[in-house]
This record gives sequence, C-alpha cells and structure tokens, in this order.
Amino acid sequence: MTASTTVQGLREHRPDVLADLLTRFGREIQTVAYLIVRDTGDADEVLADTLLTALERGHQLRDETALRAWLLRIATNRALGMRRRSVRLLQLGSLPETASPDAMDTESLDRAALKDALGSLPPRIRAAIALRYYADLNVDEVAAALGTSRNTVKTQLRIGLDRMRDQLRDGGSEAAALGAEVNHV
Amino acid sequence: MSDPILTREERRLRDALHAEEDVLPLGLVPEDLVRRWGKRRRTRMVRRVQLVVVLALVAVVASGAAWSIVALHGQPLAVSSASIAGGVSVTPSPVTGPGMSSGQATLSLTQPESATSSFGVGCSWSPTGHVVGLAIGKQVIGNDYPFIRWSLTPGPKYEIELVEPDQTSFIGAAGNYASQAAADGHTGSITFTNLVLNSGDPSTAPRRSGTFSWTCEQAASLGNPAPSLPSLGVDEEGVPALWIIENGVPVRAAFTSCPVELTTPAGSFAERCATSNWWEPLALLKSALAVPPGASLAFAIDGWTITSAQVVASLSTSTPGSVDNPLQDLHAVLGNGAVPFSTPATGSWYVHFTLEAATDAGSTLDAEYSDWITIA
Repeated sequence: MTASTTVQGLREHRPDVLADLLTRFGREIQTVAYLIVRDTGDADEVLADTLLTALERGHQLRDETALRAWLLRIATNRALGMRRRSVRLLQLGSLPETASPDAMDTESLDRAALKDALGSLPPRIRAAIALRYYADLNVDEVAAALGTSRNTVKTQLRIGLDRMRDQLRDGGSEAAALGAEVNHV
Repeated sequence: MSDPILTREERRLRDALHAEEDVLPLGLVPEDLVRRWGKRRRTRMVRRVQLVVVLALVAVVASGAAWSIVALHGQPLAVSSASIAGGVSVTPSPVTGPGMSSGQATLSLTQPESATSSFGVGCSWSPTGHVVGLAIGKQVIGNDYPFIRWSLTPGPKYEIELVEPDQTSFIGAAGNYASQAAADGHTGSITFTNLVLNSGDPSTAPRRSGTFSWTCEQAASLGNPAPSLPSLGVDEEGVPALWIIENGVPVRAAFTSCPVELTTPAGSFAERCATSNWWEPLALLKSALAVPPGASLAFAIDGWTITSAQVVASLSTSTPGSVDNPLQDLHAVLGNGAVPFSTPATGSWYVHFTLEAATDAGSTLDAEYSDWITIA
C-alpha cells in the first residue's frame, strides 16, 4: 500500500488501512507514547487510540505528506491526556518496576539513569524532548504537535536538557551521555 | 538519520532514546484494531442518540440565561453573547496597546457555587500574520488558583488548557469546545461547554458553557519600532544588535548568541549552535555591565518590533543555567519597541534573551542574545 493509498483509505474511513499504519508508524508512535507515559501498557493504549482516531478523523488530513507528523501529534495529545488521568493513581503509591542494579551492565545503568532523568521532567517537556530527539521533528513541527509556539518549545527543550544534565551529574552516573558531556565542555 | 543541527550532546540523547525502541514489544495486532474499530463505531452511535436527548433538555433549562456584552471605546471588540447555564456576567475593561483589540472580561458564576474568573482576550501581532488571538485566564475557586490558557493551534483554532500557576502541569479537563481564530478585521470565537474548572469533586466543580467572540481590528503597522539606538545596528553577519537600555539610555550591545534565523526580503541568514550552554561564551567577556540596584532595564533592536521574548538570569557564581530566574515572560511584550525586564537582585548575573522580532517590511528575526550584568 502506497502512502497516497493509505491516506485515501483514511479519508474514506476504511479499516483495512489500520494494518498498514501499524506496520509503518506503530513502533514510532508506541515509543513516543512510552517516553511520555512511562508505561508499556499505556503506550500500547495510546498507539491503538491514535490509529483509531486517525481513521475516525482521516477526512481532516489535507496534506498527505503531513501524515506522520499528524499521527505523532494525535499520539502526543493522547499520551499527555493519559498522563493527566494517571497522575492521581501514581500518587497513591504504585511505583514503577525497576531492575536490580546488580543485574545491569554499565550501558544499562546509563540508560536507566537517562530514563530516570527523562521521567523526572514535566510531561510536556518530556513530550517536547521525545518529539525532537526521538521522532526527529524540527522545532516548528514539535510546536505544531504541542499546540504552542516555537519559542516555548525551544525553552522547554533547553530546560529539559538542563534538568536532565543536572540530574545525571548529581546521580553520579559519570558515563551517562549528558552528564559526561557536560563534564567535558 | 543524521541531523547536522544537533549538538554532540543532543545526538547522544537521540541515540539513547532510539535504544528504547528496541526493548519495547509491539503487542498490538491489526485484528485487535479492527475489532476495536467496530466497537467504537457502535458506541459512538449510541452516544449520539443520548446526546440529542440531553441537548433537548438543556435547551429548555438554559433558554433564559445569556452573556451581556459591552463594546469597548467603540472598538469592534471583545466578548459577545451566547447561551449559558448558571448566571454569568461579563465586564470588559479598556483596550490596551497600539492598534490592539484586547480587553479584560470578568465572569461571575453563581451556580453551582460562587466563583470569579478574569480572562484577557484580544488580538496582537505575530511575525508572520499580524494578528493572533491570545487569552490567559485566572480562575479563583477558594484557595485554588488554576489558570486557563487558550492558545492558538494550527487550523487556525484555539486550544483550551487548564494548567497550574507555573503553567507547566495540567489539572482538570477541558470541556468540549469549538473555536475559530481571529484575523485582521475578522471575528474569532471560542465556544465551550461543560468546562470543569478545578480538579475537585465533579459534582460540585463549577462548570461553564458559553462563547467568547471578538474582532481584531486591522493593524496599520506591526507596532512600535525601537527608539533610536547607537550606530552599531548589526554585527558582521548582518544580525541586528540587541541593545540593553538602562534608565532610558542605550548602554551596551549584548552578545549575539545562537541559534539565529534572520529573514529579510533580500535573503536569509541562519546560524546554529555548537553548544546548548548559552552561558559559555559570556566567560570570554572582559567585563560585566555594572548596573545600580533599582535601575530601570529594557532592551531593544533598532528598527525592529519585538513580538515575543523571554528573559532569564542565572547567577554567574553558581552553576550557570541550572537555575533560571525569569525576568520577562513570553507573552507580555507584543507591540513594544523597547521591552522592559526586571532588574535582578544584587549580584553577578548571566542574562539570556530569547526573542522573535519583525518589521513591517516583512523581515523576521528569531534569535538569542546574552550578557553579563552585575547589580551592585
């Protein structure tokens, strides 16, 4: 199925395009959602909801070259909405599962530290970082996805990187990417 | 994918985030999606039938209540009428800003509990389109002070968000809404229903329905260009210089930081950053700008109108950039030529400017500047 055929199928609300969307964009949408909600089950829910919403609103997509950015925007909004609903549940005491540090190698430790640093950021800043540095959207596209200005996105990215850098440095993970980078500049 | 714009630090972050993808199992299969699609369509049909019944009941109950609207100083402006449930009145305040249509609307809610909100609604300039709508509201409910922020989203439409006073975290849930952005000489509106204004008990939380609409007047010019400044108007790359103004007098051109994007009718110039640490180049400065406590500070770019700006300061003696003290918010400067910002407390500060500026001729500037200022 070509990109053009997929978009046409979305506009006609044909459920057979779901498989194609899942194949082409599933991993990326799921990962962006996971980076925001920090839970694999919730990320799967966001993925399913994103694709179904896209099928439901396919007639709203005018520029077929914007399909990927449009899907990521839906996913980001869904993930942020899910974060808002789940905050109270998390505050009641359910802690995320973490592996034993003894069982992890250095690379895993660094990644775990990075995940912790990312997870400590406010959801919208985390979303900006996921869209910019994972999905490789440019600042304008991130701003469109988050419904805000490019100035705000740039500020969010800078604040996010600063905070992650501080946390990695404070956490003593010297090999962690950002912390090590800061120590050498 | 290799993005030359990213710094080495950013590329390492990107690689680490991409590694997350490898450990996530993709549990979803197409058959699940098709099954959910069928279920969703059936649910939607049932809800539509229910909605028709509810709307008919609401129309009967709310038919007597309405917004009241007052035109501002003859301006074709501000908040206009719609049906509303729960007794709401609107009192606009005077227009602010050259060529701007804007005002304050105060809403008083009498049911189900007393609460007051104030909203700034209006039109202002953007580098690309002259006029956008902007509204930031503050809701007072008991000891809670959540903000309601309406922002322009592509479409053009407005998006309603309920946020904490620090404007970073969400509370509550936006109700159903439809919107249309205001453009020069045209009317914009936000219609919302069932907007829950706090995160408390939904059965007692104030809910609001209604419509704001306002008209943006045609702006003759972008706003106020900067006052006359010293001859150093641009640097060697042609990037406009940002002058720091102390008590009305230009005293020093700030360090041109990065990134910079300058677009003029004659061409464009862009420069990316080698580092995201904005304070690093300031270490090369030989001296700080010494300012006495209580001095009035502002900044300006000769011939340009600042359309959006944020100014932050970090103590140069601490880890720079780790704590940013805001000296100027993003949204309060539209239409100004010289933009005031707060004087930091006594000490040695690295100050960072992130701004957008434009000219009536169609030039746009998106740039960052910084400087070292001591208050003593």
